[in-house]
Amino acid sequence: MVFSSTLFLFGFLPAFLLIYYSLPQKFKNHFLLFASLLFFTWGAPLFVFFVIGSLILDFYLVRKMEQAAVPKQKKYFLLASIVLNVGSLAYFKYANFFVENVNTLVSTWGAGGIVGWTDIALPIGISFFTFKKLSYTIDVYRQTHRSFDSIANYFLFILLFPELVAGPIVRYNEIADQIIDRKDKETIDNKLSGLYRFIIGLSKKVLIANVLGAEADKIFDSSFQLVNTADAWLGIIAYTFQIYFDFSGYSDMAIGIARMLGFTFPENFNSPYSSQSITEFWQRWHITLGRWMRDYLYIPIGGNRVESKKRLYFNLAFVFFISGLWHGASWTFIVWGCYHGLFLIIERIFLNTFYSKIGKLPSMLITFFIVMIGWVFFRAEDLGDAMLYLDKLFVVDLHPTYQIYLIDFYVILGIAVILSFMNLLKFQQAIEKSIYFNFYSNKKTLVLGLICYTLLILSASAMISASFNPFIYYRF
Amino acid sequence: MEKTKHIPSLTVKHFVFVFFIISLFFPLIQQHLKLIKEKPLEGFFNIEDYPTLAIDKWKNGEFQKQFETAYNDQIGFHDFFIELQSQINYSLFKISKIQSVVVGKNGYLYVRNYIDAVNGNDFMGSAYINLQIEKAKVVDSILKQKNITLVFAIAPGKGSFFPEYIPDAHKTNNHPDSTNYACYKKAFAKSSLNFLDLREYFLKIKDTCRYPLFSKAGVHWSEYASYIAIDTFKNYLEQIQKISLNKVTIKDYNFEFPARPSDYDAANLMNTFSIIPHYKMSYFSFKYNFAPLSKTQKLLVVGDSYYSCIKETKIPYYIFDTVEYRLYNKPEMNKRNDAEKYSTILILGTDGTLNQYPYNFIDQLYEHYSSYDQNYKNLKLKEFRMYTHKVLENIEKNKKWKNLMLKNAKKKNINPTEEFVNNAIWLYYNQ
Repeated sequence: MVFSSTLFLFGFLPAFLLIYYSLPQKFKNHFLLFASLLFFTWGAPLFVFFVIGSLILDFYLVRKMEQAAVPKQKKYFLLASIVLNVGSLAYFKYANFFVENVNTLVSTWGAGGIVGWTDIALPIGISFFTFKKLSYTIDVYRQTHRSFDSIANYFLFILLFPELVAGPIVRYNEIADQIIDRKDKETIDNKLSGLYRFIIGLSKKVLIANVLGAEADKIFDSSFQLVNTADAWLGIIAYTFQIYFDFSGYSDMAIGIARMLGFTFPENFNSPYSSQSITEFWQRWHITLGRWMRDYLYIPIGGNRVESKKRLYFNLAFVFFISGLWHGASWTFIVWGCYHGLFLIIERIFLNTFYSKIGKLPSMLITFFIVMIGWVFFRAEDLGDAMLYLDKLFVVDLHPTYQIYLIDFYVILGIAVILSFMNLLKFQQAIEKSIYFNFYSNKKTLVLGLICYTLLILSASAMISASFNPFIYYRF
Repeated sequence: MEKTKHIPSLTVKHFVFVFFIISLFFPLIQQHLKLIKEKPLEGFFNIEDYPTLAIDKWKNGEFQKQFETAYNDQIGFHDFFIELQSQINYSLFKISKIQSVVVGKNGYLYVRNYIDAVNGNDFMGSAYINLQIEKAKVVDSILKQKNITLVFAIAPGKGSFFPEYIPDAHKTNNHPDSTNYACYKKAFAKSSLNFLDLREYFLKIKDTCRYPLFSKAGVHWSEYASYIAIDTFKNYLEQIQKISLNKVTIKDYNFEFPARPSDYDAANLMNTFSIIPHYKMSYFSFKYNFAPLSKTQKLLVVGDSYYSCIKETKIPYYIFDTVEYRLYNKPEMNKRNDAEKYSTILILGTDGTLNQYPYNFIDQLYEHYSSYDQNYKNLKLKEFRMYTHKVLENIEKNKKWKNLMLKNAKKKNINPTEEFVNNAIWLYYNQ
């Protein structure tokens, strides 16, 4: 069940909120956990038993780790917890990929003996909650925060439904206290701004990302022989903005729902396409993943504080290799991650100096271009397709198009471009701050209410009618 | 003082928040209580039923998927939301997101397959079409011996009748001469088959007609066009059979706005709140001059929905003694091999269905009669059709093969479909 579905918007969410707000404070977390389990079970019915088992095991491993008096013992428990979590992720997410590649190698060498394997279904949100579980283990190990006393709270932290499927990746030390007590944060201001944030996120997903996505899909899913250079550029531009509005919209919805419940989730996007370098891009794109990688992987392997530049470049490349792999079990994601890692290294070697000479706008355009080309790998089905698509982009092919673009696509694309780069204007930053972070006056409540109500109806309308496709005459 | 300021502020915010939450319940309330009467949607579409809970379905996610679809399809205000979306698409962008409807220039509505036909996107290729003509010749020669007249007719679709209003974005015809119509026309001209080109005739009279031949917001031709079509067919038959048939003339007419549903069906499918602008349409009453026919005239029509419009006028029933209509895409065309019961057989096609022309009817008659004709017996039609179908399916599945075909089509400057079909035919004869 995704947030942008009729069942969630007009079923699960209002029913959940009604019951949640009606309950006395002491029962709220119990109900929230129940709802989160229901939400998870709906999407991954079989996997839920494994998750419950692994959560129980992990909770007690971490408790033992915290209680251990000897540092060595602590380390063993830390290692056990990490192996449990990374092992589960590796099994569920990467086993198919691994076996597939081994079999390809075996058949290429003609060695025979292909490994028999039944494909494993990928459980929803596994990448996200594994990172949350690791964050819990490591934060407790580092004594950044004490572990939870109650296992129910631990379950709630991991399975909290607003961030279960697509983040933001909330670290344990950021939210631990809010899980236990957030009574003071359950104010009408937070509820209202959370609701508005949710609706804005829904609109970004349904009214912008889905329209752009439909066109991008048409181009990426068609045979590339039918795609000319103009189509290819339009396709990748559409996808570039689709993925931003899709993902940031989903993050907005998650942050919004959480705020309605009194939680404060960290921001996940900050106008990433106006970045002036890839380094800056990763400070603005999927911020919570970037911070997670920095704090739990990059810094532990040495980070910037290493003796040689070679080691620094290795660290960067390694982190972005892992980041690519985290996004999906496919060579395309690995190449995408390495591509970003490569530019981070190049920036440190000479590109940053070049950027400082050419000024802000050219730097921003170059960065945007690099990011956009990177999305070809992210979107393509396999590396062969990615290379064919790049060929379409850069080797001019002017054969007439078979694609049909409707005017709404261009209008929505225009809106997406404006919204993505509006942060360059100071007044946009003020508006965003005013909507997302400030308390509302009565007048602002009503004006924003009217805008959000309109957006809600438009989004619902687009959502419900998405699958409507009637025939004129049934018998024909 | 501060307290008095604070309370009203909270009240407004509470009111707004509660209103939003209640609003999220509105669709559910409407679904169960039907408090507001909604205008039902036009067109045929599937409404998913709620699934029955079964462990297997739950485990593989099928139950959840079906439940979510059913929830979406049955939610309150479902029809309102769809109409709203349609209205926004039409009013703001002058487009339709209903897959089959295309909003053309000046608000002319088209059904997509008629535009595809004009663009040649469904072109089957000359090899395939010549094969159909060869089969038709066999069938025609046998029917002639049995004193049965076989007439092939092609009528204009809305796309070919109003090509000037097709939106530029939809004009993707890269090979103007490679359409099924152009190829059939050439093939019929080379054969001795009876061919009535209604499309050419309608385009000739388009600018001089007193009444509209096509509506702006409909899919098919108008009542007047239906009358002209059947009258032209009657005259054609009189000419080739050297007979005289009953005459039907216009008695009276009136213009109506809004147009009747038959001239507004494409617009109806869009399901907008407001009426889609269109012009007045003319509707007729007819005068029938009966005279005893020299010979019993039994007509069998095999055609697409354009013949339904002719049937609606009831004129054929006054011209012929008996008339039977078989829809082009039904599997059993020559049921009980009864084609020989009729004195005339008309196979009427329009642009949108020419990729299946002359339909199963000729295929099945050919199959039936091929035993009479040793020259064509070895074609083994049934196997051929099954084989080519399989090849086309395989091309679709195999991306590399498809890409190669597309590359070849590009090299030869022909449509992809033509290349696919040619490939299938080649494989049939060479493997």
